[in-house]
Amino acid sequence: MPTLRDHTREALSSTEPGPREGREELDQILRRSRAERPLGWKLALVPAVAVAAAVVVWIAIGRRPAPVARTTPPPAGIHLYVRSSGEPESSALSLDLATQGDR
Amino acid sequence: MMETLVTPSDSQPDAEMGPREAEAALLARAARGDDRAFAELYEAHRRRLYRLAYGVLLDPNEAREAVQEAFLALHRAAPAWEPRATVGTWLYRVVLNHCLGVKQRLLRLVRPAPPREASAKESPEGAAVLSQAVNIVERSLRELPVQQRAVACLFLEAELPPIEIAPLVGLTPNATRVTLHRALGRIRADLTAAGIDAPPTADEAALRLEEN
Repeated sequence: MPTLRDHTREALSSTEPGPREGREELDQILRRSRAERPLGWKLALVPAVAVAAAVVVWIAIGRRPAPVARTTPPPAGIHLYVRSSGEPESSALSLDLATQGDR
Repeated sequence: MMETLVTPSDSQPDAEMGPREAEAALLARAARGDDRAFAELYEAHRRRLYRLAYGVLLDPNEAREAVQEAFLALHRAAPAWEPRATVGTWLYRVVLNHCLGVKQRLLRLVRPAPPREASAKESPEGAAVLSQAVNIVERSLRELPVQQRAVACLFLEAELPPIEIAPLVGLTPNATRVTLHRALGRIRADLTAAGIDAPPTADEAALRLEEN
């Protein structure tokens, strides 16, 4: 005599996919899994590329020549730029002899 | 596309390996691109997994999708697989999470099922009784709360004892026994009301003894 388990299994298996459908679904699973893998690698590369780009930018900014105290080109004549070692760049002195000195 | 599904005899795991290690070995092969190893695991588990998913969702398409998602998750997990749990238990957990976690799917569970027709291959009398029992069990499952349904399917279909069902459904072992007792009692009462006798299996009888 069928048990409660037998009846339940019969009910639950009544719509079960057959071997052919099972095979098709397995193919689909494998295809989906493979399709997702390359994307995973690409996604993993995005933060790495962003970090590398940030490092390059940071190095480029860091190596930019320090600004001199006087940014506009002096007029023709003798001009001097005086800066003590260890002194900040902003405290450097520029002397333009043609205009009797300029800071 | 694969031509045939392999049978367990196609791949001979080491005789000294336990089932967990044998499954882990198959998954390691699957992670290296061996589709036959994965097909072996798929074939070993897909039917039970489908019946569990169908028992909870009562929708064939949703159940097939739940099974696909579980095996897809297994294929993804294969490279880092550690045999802490059996593949079967791991898959049950993924399927249950998939089935129970989506609100839209739970809402669909209240739809009434169309009555099932008897198969033409069966004798008219046997088919009628079978069809009636199947319809009653399906109707009973449909009327049970989702948690009771999941517990009943894990016990009746997956043959898991209450102590193993408990962590899968997030209940204590005692609460699982109570839930299971109510679910089985409801299904049996519906069958009995229709004049269909369904004697308990040994584990069900043991469950009753535990409660008494």
